[in-house]
Amino acid sequence: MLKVEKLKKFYKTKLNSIHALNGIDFSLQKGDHLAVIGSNGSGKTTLIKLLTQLTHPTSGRILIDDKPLSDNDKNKFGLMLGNSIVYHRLTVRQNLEYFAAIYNVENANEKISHHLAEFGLTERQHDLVEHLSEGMKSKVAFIRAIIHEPEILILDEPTNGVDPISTDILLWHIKKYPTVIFSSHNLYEVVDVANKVLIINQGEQAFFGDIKDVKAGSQSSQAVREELLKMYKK
Amino acid sequence: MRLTTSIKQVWAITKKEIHLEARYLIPFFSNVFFNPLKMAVWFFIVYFGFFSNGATSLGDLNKENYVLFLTIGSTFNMFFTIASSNFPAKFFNEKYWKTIQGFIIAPLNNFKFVIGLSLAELIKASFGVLVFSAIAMIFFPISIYKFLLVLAVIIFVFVGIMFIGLIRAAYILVNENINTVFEYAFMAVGFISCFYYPIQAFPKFLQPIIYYNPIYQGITLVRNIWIDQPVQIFSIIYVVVFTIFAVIFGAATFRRLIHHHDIEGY
Repeated sequence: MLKVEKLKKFYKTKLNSIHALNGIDFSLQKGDHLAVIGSNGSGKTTLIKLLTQLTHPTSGRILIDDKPLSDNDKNKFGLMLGNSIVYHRLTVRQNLEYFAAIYNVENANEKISHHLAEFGLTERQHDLVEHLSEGMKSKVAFIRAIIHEPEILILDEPTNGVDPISTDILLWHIKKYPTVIFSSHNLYEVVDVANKVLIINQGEQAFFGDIKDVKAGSQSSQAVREELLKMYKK
Repeated sequence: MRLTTSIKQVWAITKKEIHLEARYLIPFFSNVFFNPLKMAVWFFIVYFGFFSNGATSLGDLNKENYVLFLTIGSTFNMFFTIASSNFPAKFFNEKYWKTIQGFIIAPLNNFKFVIGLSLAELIKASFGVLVFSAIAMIFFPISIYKFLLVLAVIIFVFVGIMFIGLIRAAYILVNENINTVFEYAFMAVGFISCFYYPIQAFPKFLQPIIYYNPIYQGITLVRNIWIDQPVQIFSIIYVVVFTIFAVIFGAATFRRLIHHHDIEGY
């Protein structure tokens, strides 16, 4: 479904050249939940930006259904970058109506109402987003990302700054979604949600594989987290 | 089907912009309407004193037409401000609100985006157009057909400047240094557009440069249509060519810049 080949992204600053990503290779099938982990500045967000065409690779390829990624594939992705890409000066409903129209969503009103109810936001739908709590903003950003029912949902630290109750709700929905790529610093949610893991260390691919491979030798979540932490530190 | 979808998308952008502007109305009115009006009032005081003290003319200006001259100038200045400053400033806001990503990842082409934004600006500017047109009509009434022709020319020039503004918008996203260059460039163009003074007010050596400024040609065209002066074919062709060129060049440059550079600044 999605294949990433020898992906590189270099940035030039006034002082030096930054190798944000240096040779990332992985492939995903429908139904996969990929967790991208790595320390701050490791290149996780750059990878997400490349997958959603927010930036373009220095070299390498991204293939979707065996064809190079193009503008025509934009509808296939849903992106949540924290609680950005949501207009804080618009109401919750105005935001969702806008993005539903942009993505040409059919029966948009019904879908929006359904999602708002699902996330407990019906009562707040006419409030400005700037008046919502961080957790609620994240829920709005999540609904925005899935409003057009994308084939692949891409989330950058979706639960960052979100309270435990809202985190639970978001994770429940993420797990339900068919194909997901998400970055996270929280190894609990990685083990909970992902079936595949990509570890990036200073732009280099340190590990890509099935989470079962990480679990080798132990089936306990705690052991997997400890193993991931070791790999992460390397 | 595709047309219906496009109309829906364009209208969604327009609606979104109007909702965003409706959050804080006073800054919008002060920027778009009161600034051109303030300039017109300043020049009105000067010209009123000038013609009341026995002066008969200043270039194309005379006692009979100076109010109309200023009113048309203010309308043009309002649209010029919208297209050259307010429109690119939207990209600045979207960049720091971190909502611009929503536009870049959306299955939407630049034209729909610009048309949506332009429509929103036209709706917002309609108040100013109404006020300025009412003043012009009082002093120099014209037929509705002529008025529509004037409006068409203004909108045509407005679209051209919007697409040049789109290049500024792209630089706001990828390199704010260049944005500052654009700011001064637009200021210079505004200065030589003769919104409030005739071309004859400039030294002779500057007049040929002003003559080839498409905004000057647009404003002259409108003034001539309004006061029944002969319309130069050159002006019409020049304005049409400018707008077509601006649309093609602006859209292509925006696309190229966004595709080859990353958003910079945060």
